Amino acid sequence: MIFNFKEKKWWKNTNMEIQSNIENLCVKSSLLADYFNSLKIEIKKEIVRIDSLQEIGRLAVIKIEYRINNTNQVVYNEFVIDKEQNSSGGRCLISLNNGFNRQIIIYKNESMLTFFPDFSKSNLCQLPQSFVKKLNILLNNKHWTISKITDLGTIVPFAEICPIKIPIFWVDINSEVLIDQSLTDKEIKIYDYNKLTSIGSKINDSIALSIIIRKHKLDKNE
Amino acid sequence: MNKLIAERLSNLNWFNNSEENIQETLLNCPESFDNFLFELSNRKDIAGNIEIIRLIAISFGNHFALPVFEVKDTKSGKIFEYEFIGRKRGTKHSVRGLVMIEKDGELQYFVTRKSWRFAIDSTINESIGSIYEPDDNSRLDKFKFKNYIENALSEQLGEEDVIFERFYDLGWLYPDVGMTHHKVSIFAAVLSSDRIDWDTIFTSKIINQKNYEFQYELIPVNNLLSYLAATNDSHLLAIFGRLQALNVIKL
Repeated sequence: MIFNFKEKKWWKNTNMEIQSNIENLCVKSSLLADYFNSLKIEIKKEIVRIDSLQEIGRLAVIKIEYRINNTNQVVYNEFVIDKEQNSSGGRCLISLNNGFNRQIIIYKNESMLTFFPDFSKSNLCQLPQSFVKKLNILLNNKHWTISKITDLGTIVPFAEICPIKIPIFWVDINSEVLIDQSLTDKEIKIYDYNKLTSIGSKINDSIALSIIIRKHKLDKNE
Repeated sequence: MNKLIAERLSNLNWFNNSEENIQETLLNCPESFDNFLFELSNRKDIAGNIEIIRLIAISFGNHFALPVFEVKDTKSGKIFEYEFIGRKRGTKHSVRGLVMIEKDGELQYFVTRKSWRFAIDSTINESIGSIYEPDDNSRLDKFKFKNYIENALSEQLGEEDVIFERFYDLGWLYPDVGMTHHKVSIFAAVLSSDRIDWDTIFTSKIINQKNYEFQYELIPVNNLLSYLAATNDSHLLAIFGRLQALNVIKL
């Protein structure tokens, strides 16, 4: 990978040890490499240098020194990156369809409702094994298949602290049967699909809420 | 550090099991992180099936704290690490919202912001913000919360007459529970343009209060559907989602 940022003035002003750490991180994370490659001088501000880099666990805090041109004021800004996120993992919500009725599945608890679909093994969406096992139990091992994946674009959960953009989508599953709601537990909540918009008052996860409103927008357009 | 916080920490097994240098780093961190530390001192040794064994690393920036815990799943016995991004003011740091402008009783515009954000190194169409979370006393009382937001917007706009026709306390949301402990208060409010030309007031300002610049944007109500694709601020999308759920707006 080419690190264009090494030609930039702010890079040359940065302490050599920090340079070395950033290079190592960029080798592991194309997301971070892209970020630094595209870091640009704004009209009203000048990036002076990378002031510090603190790595801790899988996260790193990067502090950047910049100068406001018309006042010469020096300001520091920091953000956090996930070193292991080489590409932004996607999140999705899932609906189940037996040809007559449709259910929305909310998995785990109210604050952790979304999944990380895995496209790495093939072009098909691979749902997490823990959910697949749970779903098989709830559907009494009846046949089911992923029928459609709808791309709902990307969202930025936290623009002020982290450069991560998350792709979101909706996964439709065709199934012989629907989930009997009496079998659900604390991990699974089921809603009728026609209650899609009203779920927004019951969940607190902004990513799940974003998925719901974008899906509803799409449904309205169709 | 606050003596009470130090005492609370000393009663926790996970703190006492942490290495001395880690304990000292915590006890000697900047006072501005007291809220974060107080909440950390509320972390019980066991929550659900997760037992916190010890804190193995912690780092403090200007605004963020990054703690890394060694934990054990009591069901499987598996030992692994958990970490998250903390903010110095604690979990309740900020408020985000949406302002709507009506005229003659009819909704005309949604007011959002176009902000340049350092972390993403680009502009984003996002919710109204740059407002700190109020204290619990103000937050839990809807009238006080409404007044607090009115005052915050008055200060931003440099206008004294910010009085909402209607105010919706939309509760809380978590931006990303996998990464941060942060919990955001959200609201929506309606201003009437019958006597004050809020359209012009909002669009005439460029605000820079916290080292980032933003401008307000007016989104015509009829353009909401297309705007939902244009904005990728999860707070804003969530606010629309909640307003839809409460039948305040309809797509």
